[in-house]
Amino acid sequence: MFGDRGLGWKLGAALAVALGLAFLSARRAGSTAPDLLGCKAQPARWDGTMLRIHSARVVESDTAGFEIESDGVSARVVPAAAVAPGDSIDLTGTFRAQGQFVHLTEVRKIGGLKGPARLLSLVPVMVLGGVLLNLLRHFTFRPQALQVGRSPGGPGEGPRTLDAGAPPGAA
Amino acid sequence: MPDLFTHLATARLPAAFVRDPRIAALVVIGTFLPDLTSKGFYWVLKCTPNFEVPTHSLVGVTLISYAASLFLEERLRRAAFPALLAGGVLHVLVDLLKDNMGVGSCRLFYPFSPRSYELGLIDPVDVIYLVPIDLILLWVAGAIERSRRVRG
Repeated sequence: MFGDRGLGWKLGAALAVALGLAFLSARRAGSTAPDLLGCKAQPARWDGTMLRIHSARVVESDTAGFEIESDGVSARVVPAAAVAPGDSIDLTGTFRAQGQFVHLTEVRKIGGLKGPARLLSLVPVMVLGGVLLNLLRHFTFRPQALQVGRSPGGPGEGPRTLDAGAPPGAA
Repeated sequence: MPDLFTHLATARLPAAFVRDPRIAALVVIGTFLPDLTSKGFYWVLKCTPNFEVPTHSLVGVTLISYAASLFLEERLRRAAFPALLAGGVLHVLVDLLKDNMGVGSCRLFYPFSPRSYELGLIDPVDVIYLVPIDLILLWVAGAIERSRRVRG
């Protein structure tokens, strides 16, 4: 199972099964849990379907509801919520074929870190920077540190150092 | 980024108890594989999110870990696979903590069951507030590793 024999076949089979599952998932979702585009394309079929819309942008809002745009598809959401044009939101709701709107269940604003949260967001970046610096420290090529081990004692057989800056034969 | 940082911290702690540093590194690498593959589907292959479902299921994580282990040298593979798998499963468990508005964060038993699970403990927007806890976890992991080195 882990040997080198038939490695290409084993790797190919694992990747093929993983890809097959991904295609199966997309195909099943298309017939059981459509996205907003699917609902708008076949409203009668998906009437009453529960939707989760991720990273939608609020285009406009009024007292009765608001308009969203997600992956190039726009939809009306009712009732109104505490969102303003330009906000990025995640929402769950029920698609209604009559009028082609989404009846809102829950909405959550995303993005726009403020105050301490913005400061905290710098920490992962700093840690990543530290990790990369540490890697550089370990893997920087230092030719002068390369020792060519030769048994000491014999004439001209002392340890030699390869130095990139040294003239040929100087080592 | 904070999400990845949380995954890093939660994998570093159990990895600190692994004696072989190569295997410890593979536990940490394994914890990134589910997101690397799902983001690969989304950003590189431009697939819809529905393609990403298996990358966060137990069967999918097992397949990804097995495929990844085959890229390593032969004598390391047998130990690498469980390490990568442990990292991947840990990733899925951490993702289960999220509150995805009742829709679920992972279809754990896909393709056997389409049901999506979530514990709903952390709003994904608030993952940023886990950063101090992550730092503590990283510090503890470092301390464990240092104490083992001292003991020899």
